[in-house]
Amino acid sequence: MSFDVVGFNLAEGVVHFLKVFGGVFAAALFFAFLISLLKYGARGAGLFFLGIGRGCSDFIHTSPKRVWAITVLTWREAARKKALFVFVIFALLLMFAGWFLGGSVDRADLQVKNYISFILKAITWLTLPVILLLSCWGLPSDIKNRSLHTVVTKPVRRQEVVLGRFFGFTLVGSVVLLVMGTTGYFWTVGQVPEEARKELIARVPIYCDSLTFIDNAGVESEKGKNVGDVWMFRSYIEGATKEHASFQYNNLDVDAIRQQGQLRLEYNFEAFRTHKGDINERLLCNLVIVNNKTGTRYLLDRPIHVQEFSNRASDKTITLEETVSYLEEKTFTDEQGNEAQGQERIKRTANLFDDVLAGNSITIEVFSLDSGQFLGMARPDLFIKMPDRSFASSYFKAIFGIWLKMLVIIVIGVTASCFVKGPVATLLTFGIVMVGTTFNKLLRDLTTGSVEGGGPFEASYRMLYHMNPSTEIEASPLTVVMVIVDRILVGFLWTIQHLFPRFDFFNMNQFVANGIDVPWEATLLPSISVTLAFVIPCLILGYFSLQLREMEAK
Amino acid sequence: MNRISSQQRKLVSLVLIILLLAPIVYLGAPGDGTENSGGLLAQKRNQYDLGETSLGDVDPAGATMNLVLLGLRGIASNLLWQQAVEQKDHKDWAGLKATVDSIVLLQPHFKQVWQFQAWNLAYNVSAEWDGVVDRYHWVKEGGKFIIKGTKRNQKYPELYWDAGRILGHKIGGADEKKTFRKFFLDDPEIEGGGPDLELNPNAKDNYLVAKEWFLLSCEVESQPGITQTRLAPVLFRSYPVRSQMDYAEARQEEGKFDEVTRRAWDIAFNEVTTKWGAERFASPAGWIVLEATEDVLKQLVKEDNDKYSLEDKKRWVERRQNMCGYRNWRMRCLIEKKPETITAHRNLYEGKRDYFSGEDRIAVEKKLFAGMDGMEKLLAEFPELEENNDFREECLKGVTLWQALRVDSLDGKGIPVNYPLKYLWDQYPDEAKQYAELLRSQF
Repeated sequence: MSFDVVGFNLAEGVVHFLKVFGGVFAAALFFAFLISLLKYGARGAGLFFLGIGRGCSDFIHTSPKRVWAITVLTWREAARKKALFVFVIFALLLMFAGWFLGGSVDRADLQVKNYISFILKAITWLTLPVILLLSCWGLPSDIKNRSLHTVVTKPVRRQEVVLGRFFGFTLVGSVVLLVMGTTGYFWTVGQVPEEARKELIARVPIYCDSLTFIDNAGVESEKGKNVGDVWMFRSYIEGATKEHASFQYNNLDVDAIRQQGQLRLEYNFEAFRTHKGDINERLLCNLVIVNNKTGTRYLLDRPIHVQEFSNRASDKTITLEETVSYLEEKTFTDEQGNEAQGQERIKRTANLFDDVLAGNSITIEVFSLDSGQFLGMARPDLFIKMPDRSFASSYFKAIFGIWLKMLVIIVIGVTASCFVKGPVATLLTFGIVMVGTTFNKLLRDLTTGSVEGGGPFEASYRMLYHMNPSTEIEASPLTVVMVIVDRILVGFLWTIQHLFPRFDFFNMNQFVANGIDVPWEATLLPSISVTLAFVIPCLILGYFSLQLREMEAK
Repeated sequence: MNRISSQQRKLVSLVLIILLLAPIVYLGAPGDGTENSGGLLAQKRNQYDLGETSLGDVDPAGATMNLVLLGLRGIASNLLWQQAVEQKDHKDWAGLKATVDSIVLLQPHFKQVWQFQAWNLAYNVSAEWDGVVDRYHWVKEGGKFIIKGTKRNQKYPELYWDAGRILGHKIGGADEKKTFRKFFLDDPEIEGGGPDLELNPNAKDNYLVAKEWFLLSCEVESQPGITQTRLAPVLFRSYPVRSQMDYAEARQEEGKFDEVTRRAWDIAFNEVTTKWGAERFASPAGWIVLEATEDVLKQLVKEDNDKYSLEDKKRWVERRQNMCGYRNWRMRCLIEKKPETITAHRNLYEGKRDYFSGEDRIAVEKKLFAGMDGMEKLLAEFPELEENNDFREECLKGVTLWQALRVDSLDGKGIPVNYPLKYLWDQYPDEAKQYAELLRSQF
């Protein structure tokens, strides 16, 4: 894995949503009230409350039958607009993808990654633009053709039109996605070389709660040594020293591991050599499992060869059976009475479940053994493997991720088309999707202040005076003004960023391509939460926008 | 008002279409690849070698991709290059290879793409992997990539030269050369053993395969209208024979002092003097050759209608010889092809090997002495050898070992006053001391 997997706190997310939603909703009500007062005078207050009341009543009296009628209509329209032609492009891609992918890498285990990434990307980039266009142009063309004019004269409520459109496009997208997803699954399984088919699995990892690095003096820190790699993802420990990495696992489900009958660990360390050493031998490392309850240290009796970058799970899996052979590091005092450790190692055995994992909390320490060589690791690089799941389970979770993304696009597209015309709605939705996909991290970094060079004002100042981001600006009245202005602007940006969905949660392709099960807490749960967080406010906004829209306008 | 009927209008349109088709057919009719076939454009394309087929094999996938992208090829290439850099930084090797393959589909005739990415795979990516089999895999990927490049671009001598460099220099010169050279003949990734046929179809030594690629690069460069910008011509044309020398030298390093090795040096000498040395190179004094005897140069002066003097020619020959170390390579081959040189090398090599493996001291001493004696005779015949660093190192290391044995010798006579290569030992005291210290540090 080339990225960290961080859990999502649902309670915090809900509170955050309520704050943002409540704030925006209150502000919208306040401005609506103000506008109606300004426009209609004292009568405006009554009209405002009447509108709110009518809205509530409309939502309560939503008719599923009418919503379904519009849903079916939307499906028919989409079919008439040849939206399903997207299947032809998909079929063409699948027919010729072999030309591009087949011979790219000779190693079968590395090819798996390419096939999976390709198919999931192809499905994403074929379905989402079609759905975006359909959802943004549906209502505006209804208004233009005056067909909506006919509909609203019937006993159909505005929110039913919005909901019908939303469900209709969702139906179209779901059918397209289901067909493509299923075809893609069989295509992937068929295309992957025979010898690499066993890599089509979904490993279920339990990542450590924390990773710390302990240096030679025993000082603990979050980062190990930096070997000058441009990619700062991994930190390194030096071989044949006391330096080690410490992976802490709390609240282990020992019963589930007991049911498995063994403990399987998978590692993915990176080697960095400062001298040739024995070039025909891989670097070695030792693992020590420390029981956090008893403090007993279990040094595994065989060092591990570092299988760098291998994509074969079997290369990097350590299996501990019920009886664990380990070496006891005996502490004794030497002739001078000094205490020495690790001078003598006695081979012993222990019960995996009753001794090693007792107390449900362990720490795994990793020591590099080769002098002058370094081992690099990050939090996802050592995990406990629970029983593997099928490839289909993780693959279809990724398809579900695409489906959720599609829902967000549909709801934004339909809402945008309720208050602007087709081209503008398309641009608006496309802009929101692009920002949500590409610039979300930048927005977060800007608002949390983790981008070097300060806020917009300070950055402009630096550009004007050709100052690099790390140069300190001399204190002056201007810097005070700069800080204040930047704080206001960053605060504004903080609010704005919530209008863009965080699509990084929805990208589950990397998990599937790396043979890892799509995690619930880190990916599925936040994706579902983000989708719901957009669907509800957008439907309300869509309803009121359509309510206020002039249907005669072209 | 328009008085002609609809039918007449259609007929007029048809006539106009036929009339317009005529120049199109005249200009754009496709040719069959032979001279003067097809329309004017096809003929011109053929005349100036501008067609896809004349540049190399046509890749249908790449051609389709370029067509589909319309004018967006540049943007797509830029994005792919960025992606490739990011994938390399993030160590996504499979992704990197796939991206590189996509780049060459878009830019199949952009020479630098092939050169840069082949180097990237063979040198940079391979070095990132820890397992020696994995490292070899990526060197092969780089080699295969550049070979694919030569097939798509048959008129770039540099690509053939790069293929030779990866197969020769990378496989034979890396830290892992001992293993890589073995793998080149017996690939661990090939089921049932044997070489990877894509790189080594005839199961040859890597340097001999590299030599074939260097020869091809020279052959392509010799074609009219083709030039290379990689190296000065005297250096570029030296690579086939340099590979032959590398092959012979690699055999010696591996302790193979047999007739095959001697013969390899013999071939190298012939190629230096009759091929590389006999080639004509342009200089400010007209055409010159590196194997320049008085008679040959006089003949060249005559051919140039006495435009340049003999002295001019000689001066430029010397400059070009200095540039590529011609005299040094020539002398090296001349010396190494001698059976007595092979014997001297073998004695020193085996003496050193047996010394460290703790063989019988007297036998080791004898071997080392014989080697030193052989080298002294060579030094007497070719005094220029003294200036050769490799020669000095081999001799002085042999003397160091021999002296170490003599100091503790059973006959108690120690190091005699006179012994072979004593002159060299006394002449280079710093180097002698360095090797003596190196030996001490081994124990």
